[in-house]
Amino acid sequence: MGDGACPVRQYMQETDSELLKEYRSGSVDALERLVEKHRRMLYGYIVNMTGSQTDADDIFQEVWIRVIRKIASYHHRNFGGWLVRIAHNIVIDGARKRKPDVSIDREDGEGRSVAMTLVADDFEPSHLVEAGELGTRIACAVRELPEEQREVFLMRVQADLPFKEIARIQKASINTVLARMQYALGKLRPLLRDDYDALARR
Amino acid sequence: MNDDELQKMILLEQSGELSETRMHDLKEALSLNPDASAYRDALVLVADKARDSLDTDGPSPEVITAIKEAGEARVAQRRTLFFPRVAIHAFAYAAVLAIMIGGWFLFANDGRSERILEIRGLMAAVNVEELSQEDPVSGQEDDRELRALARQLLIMEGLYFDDDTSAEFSDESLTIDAAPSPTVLRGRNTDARRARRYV
Repeated sequence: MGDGACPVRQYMQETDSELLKEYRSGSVDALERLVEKHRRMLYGYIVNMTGSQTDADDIFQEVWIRVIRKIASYHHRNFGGWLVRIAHNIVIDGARKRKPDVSIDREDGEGRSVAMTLVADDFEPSHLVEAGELGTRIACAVRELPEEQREVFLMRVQADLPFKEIARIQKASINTVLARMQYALGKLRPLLRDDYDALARR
Repeated sequence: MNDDELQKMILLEQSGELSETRMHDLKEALSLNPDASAYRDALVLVADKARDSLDTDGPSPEVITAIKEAGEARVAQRRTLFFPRVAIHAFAYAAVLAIMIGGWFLFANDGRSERILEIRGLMAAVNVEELSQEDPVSGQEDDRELRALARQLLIMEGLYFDDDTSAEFSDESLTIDAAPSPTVLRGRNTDARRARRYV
């Protein structure tokens, strides 16, 4: 993707506004660069939310189809936040369609929400870029988080969204979002304790 | 400051959303609270490791191709709509301009010239009445009133007058001793008027 003559990371230096303006002027290459710029962040968020690469492919494509349709009227400041918001809505809609009569947050006897059981099993940790044992454990630990806490964690850590934007997407107060992040970290830290201690000693 | 509040401040500090004032409070608290420092360090480590670990390859090349094709289709669609749109806008602007110019021509003439013509006719009629010998006294009174009225009307139309004020009408006189100089309308050719003789 992109022009082979250009430096690989050139698109990362271009701002979203510049790329959007270029695309609006008719440059499809600018759209490609925009997709690549946000690919890892957006796809990582989707696949870790759904746990399914097949679903993640469909949702990733759907996000960009919607962006292309609405790009003429886009005027938000945070393009990455907009992408995640669209992905969030599609993920939620998909979950509701699968279980329309059940709240996705309803928990079973073991404290796991229905949303967690909707996650498909075709997620292979070996697809992780860093497929070491630690990486696998972190990925599995994140998948084990309740949906809302997992989402806050992924939006913050992977999509690098500010808490204010996350609160807007989740339609919650910033205090609630911060509390969810605290709980998520609280659950992850024990799982990584040994590694944390080792890292802290370096 | 309790632990919960401190942890939230640390989270906001990491996301760049903590104000400068609060940043100062946080630094002070971190220097005094070793547990808070440990929490901050753990947060940074977990975030860094998680970011690397959660990174995945994907999506498939077919998805990227589909997105590119959708982008191309949209660009082509906008190009197709662009030229008719430009033509429609140009036509609309031209129509509005034509209406504005036509309206100006139609309504700019508010009948002023017709009114001035009629008032001039009235003044001319007054002069004719001065010539009447049947009832000169009452005719003079009416003449003066009519002339004053006509003059006022012309002033209202924005015209200036250069009357010769040396001409006087005497109420007791049955005859007109001196003919008043003709009314001069600025900007008009008054040579023909000056050539007239009043009796």
